[in-house]
Amino acid sequence: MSDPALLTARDLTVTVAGRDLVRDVSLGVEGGTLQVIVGPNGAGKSTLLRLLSGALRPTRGTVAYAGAAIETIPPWRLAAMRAVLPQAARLAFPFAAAEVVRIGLDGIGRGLGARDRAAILARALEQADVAHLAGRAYPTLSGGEQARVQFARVLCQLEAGRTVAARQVLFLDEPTASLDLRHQGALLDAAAGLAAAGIAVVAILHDLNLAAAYADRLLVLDGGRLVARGRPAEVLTDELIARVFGVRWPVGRVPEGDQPFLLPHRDVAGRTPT
Amino acid sequence: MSRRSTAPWVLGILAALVVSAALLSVSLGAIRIPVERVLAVLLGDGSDPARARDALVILSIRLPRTLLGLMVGAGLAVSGALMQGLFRNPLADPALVGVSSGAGLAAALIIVLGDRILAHLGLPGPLPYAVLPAGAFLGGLGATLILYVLATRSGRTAVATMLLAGIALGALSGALTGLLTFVSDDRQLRDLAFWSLGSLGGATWAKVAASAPLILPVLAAVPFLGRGLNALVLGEAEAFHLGVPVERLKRACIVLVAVAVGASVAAAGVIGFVGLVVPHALRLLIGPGHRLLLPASALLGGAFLILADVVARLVAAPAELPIGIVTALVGAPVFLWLLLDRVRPDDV
Repeated sequence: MSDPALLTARDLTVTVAGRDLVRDVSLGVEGGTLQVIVGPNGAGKSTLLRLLSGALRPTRGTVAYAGAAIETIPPWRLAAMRAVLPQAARLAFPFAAAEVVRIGLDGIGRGLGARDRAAILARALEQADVAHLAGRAYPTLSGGEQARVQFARVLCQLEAGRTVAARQVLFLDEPTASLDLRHQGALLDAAAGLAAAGIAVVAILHDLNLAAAYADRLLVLDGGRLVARGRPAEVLTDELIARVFGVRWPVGRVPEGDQPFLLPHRDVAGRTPT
Repeated sequence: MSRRSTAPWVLGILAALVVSAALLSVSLGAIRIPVERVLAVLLGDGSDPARARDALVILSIRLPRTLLGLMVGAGLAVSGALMQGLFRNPLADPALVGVSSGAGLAAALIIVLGDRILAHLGLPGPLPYAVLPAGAFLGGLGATLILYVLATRSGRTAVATMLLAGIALGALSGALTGLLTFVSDDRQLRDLAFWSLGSLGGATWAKVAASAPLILPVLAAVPFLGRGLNALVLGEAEAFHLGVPVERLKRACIVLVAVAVGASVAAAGVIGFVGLVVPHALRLLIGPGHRLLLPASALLGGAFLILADVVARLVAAPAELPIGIVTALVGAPVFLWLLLDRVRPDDV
């Protein structure tokens, strides 16, 4: 229990051209949980993710992994501790899908034997449902297929990194944006599975229903500030939806349990109620 | 898996191609020397007085020329592959992004204005020969430095800015070189043509010895860059997330390219399109993975330039075509084809 927290952020602020993109955000990330960041466009969700992953330095505030300030951790060491699934990645060169996935193993997986690497690769391709695309050129895949290939790459990085770092964080930046319903569910199932296996998962989601279904903890960002956090059933209220997202869609509850949901609809004038 | 096991084959075949091209280059020319006599001389049987002429031609003219071509071709092709990886753009080429033209401009300045400046200072001419290649080398480094400074803000280098600034700098260098052409006399004009189109004609052992310590370390660094460049293909943030020290990798690539291209231009003038055509052809044949692409580019670049030099020597014999004309005749159509091929599929 004396281990320092896996990931702590304190008073993060990013100021660009006089505007605070993220303001005074503090949060802790622990293994075994799936936290979901939600918020309207421009709320600072992606900026916050970039701060937590180390891709961006804050104007003020600190990020620490296992007690060590992030800027003191060398990139290769950080790569074993956290992986990031980007929103979308286009490639200028026609790498095969399997080669893209293998890049996830190239750095931290160097110490592994050829057989271990092949096994990790095969598992990741299977888990992301892209084994049948392995030989296809990445640029010829659809957006959703590319996203799943990237997810497989991230799974490889996590598994290779686990041989070095016992505690890991996975960041997902709108992982379901280009996926069909079945693959949205499959990807978030996989993410929840990783969380159950002890990995800390932090995801940005636009779809509040998916967020409510999968999040152990919801973080609501608005105007760069963290305005609410907690279980989805506690956080998602009519009042918050109206205040943060600017629509008056009443929050319902699914029949079994207390999971909240939103049903988009129009008012009598035929518009979204705001 | 398959890529890994084919790598030794690919490199073996390309190495054989280099050796064949080199033998051809040593054998062909104004005097044709059959390959078996070439081998006899190279393998140390030069004592035979009947072979003295062969030995002279081979050892003092063709061998340094071939080795210089090998180094310059390898250096340019590797530089092209590095730049394309760095800029994540298959159209990047050292000659297109201003590095070569910066070196060429420095050479032009020295050719046209060197003697006048000496006369103005009251110093005896002509300029020592080494001033020209040294100036070209520094010109290439200078152009790179300007690009780097233009594109770097608070420790981060924006490669897209660097690419565009390079094209602008290349155009500017071209205009200034044109201006110098305008004020030059006949002899200087001939020298300028040599520099702007390239030639291995002046190859000597001294040039080989001066280029080797610059180009060979760049080639030796290649095996350490492939993994990082593969990750960089996904994007700079993704490469960082995968553990690549991105800014250090970018700086390393920029310095290596500047040194290799500067040394190449200093030794053989501005030779275009090698850095574009060679990596592109290889991507089609062996795939885009940089760990194989970079060493393969070095080998195919060397072989390509040696063969281009053979063509340049033979086509208009006894006169010599500038080698840049040969590489451009092959390279420009490939560039256009690449461009058309790229615009079609996925660009919105």
